Amino acid sequence: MNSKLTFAFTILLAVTVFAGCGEGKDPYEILGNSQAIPTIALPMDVSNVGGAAISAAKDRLDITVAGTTATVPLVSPVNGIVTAIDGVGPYTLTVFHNSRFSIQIGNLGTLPGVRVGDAVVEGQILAAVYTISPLIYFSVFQNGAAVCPLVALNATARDRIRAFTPVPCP
Amino acid sequence: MIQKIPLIGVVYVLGIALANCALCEEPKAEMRLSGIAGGMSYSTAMGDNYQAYTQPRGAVAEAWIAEPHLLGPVFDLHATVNYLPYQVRGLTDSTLNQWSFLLGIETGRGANANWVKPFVSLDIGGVYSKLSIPAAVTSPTQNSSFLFAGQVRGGVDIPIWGKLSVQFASPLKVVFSAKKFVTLNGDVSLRWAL
Repeated sequence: MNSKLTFAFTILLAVTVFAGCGEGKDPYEILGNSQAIPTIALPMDVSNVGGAAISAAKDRLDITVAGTTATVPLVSPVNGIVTAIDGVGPYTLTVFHNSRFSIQIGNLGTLPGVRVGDAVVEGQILAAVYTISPLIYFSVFQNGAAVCPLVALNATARDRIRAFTPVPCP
Repeated sequence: MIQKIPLIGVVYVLGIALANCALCEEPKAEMRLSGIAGGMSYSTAMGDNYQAYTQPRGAVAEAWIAEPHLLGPVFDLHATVNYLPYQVRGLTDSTLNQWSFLLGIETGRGANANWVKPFVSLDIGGVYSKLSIPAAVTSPTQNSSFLFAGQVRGGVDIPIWGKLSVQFASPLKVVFSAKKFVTLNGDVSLRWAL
């Protein structure tokens, strides 16, 4: 009996030793964002926005990067997990925030500095945009459907976009 | 790891002390396997996570160990292994696979095999979780964890024939992640008393 009980507590000891082990980030933490639809900033500093247009279907924002020689850091506007990197240049990167909200950044000429499955936080640099190829596509998905990105942007970002495109967007 | 060393030490010392205490008196009966069970499990994440995860069906395997000397005639040691593949809502082809390994004490079985028996158990242990992401990439990162977990589990055991019975249980399980993951499960399993 002594050996059996020792065996049982060895199992408990093993659980204690292994607790906290794992690879990458804690899955529950990655997927633990609130289910609310967030208000977000643009994926770059507003001072780097040199132009903007809304697609005809009003489901995508085309942002032209200001300047001609520098590289502009592209950041994640939300906490989430990188769920897709599509294309072979230009690349399209998708960040999953919660079951109701994802964002997509497209037409990236350089390979993003993150991999699929990486947990990213708001403000984390995802890639660099070279201003010799300065157009990026920014899409917002709510409940699985692309919506007008302006509805998710904060006031600062929205005002900056409005300075370039007066197209009404619900 | 260094921060866990005191905790590991406490668990080890308590375990060995209890194991030795079992030898303080001459045992009246031997520890023995008293039942095994296998079945299916249905799970629902609770709270904010309800919107994040689907309700998966998984598998559950259980075993009971009678230890009359230490636990008396009413209590049994209860061990359970549970697998649940949660789908992540809004994230196509992504799965959070969860394996639970829990050990605890169960009460309420009694001795009469012909009665419908309600039971309650309290189990603790660890849960290994792995987040699988869409496969159409060359080198995805892996996100996995092994975390402490506990569950309170109530249910009834209904005799079918001889030593065979069907049991319906409803474990309320908590995975102690930074963001606690609480699920309410429904288990249906066939139990064979030994």
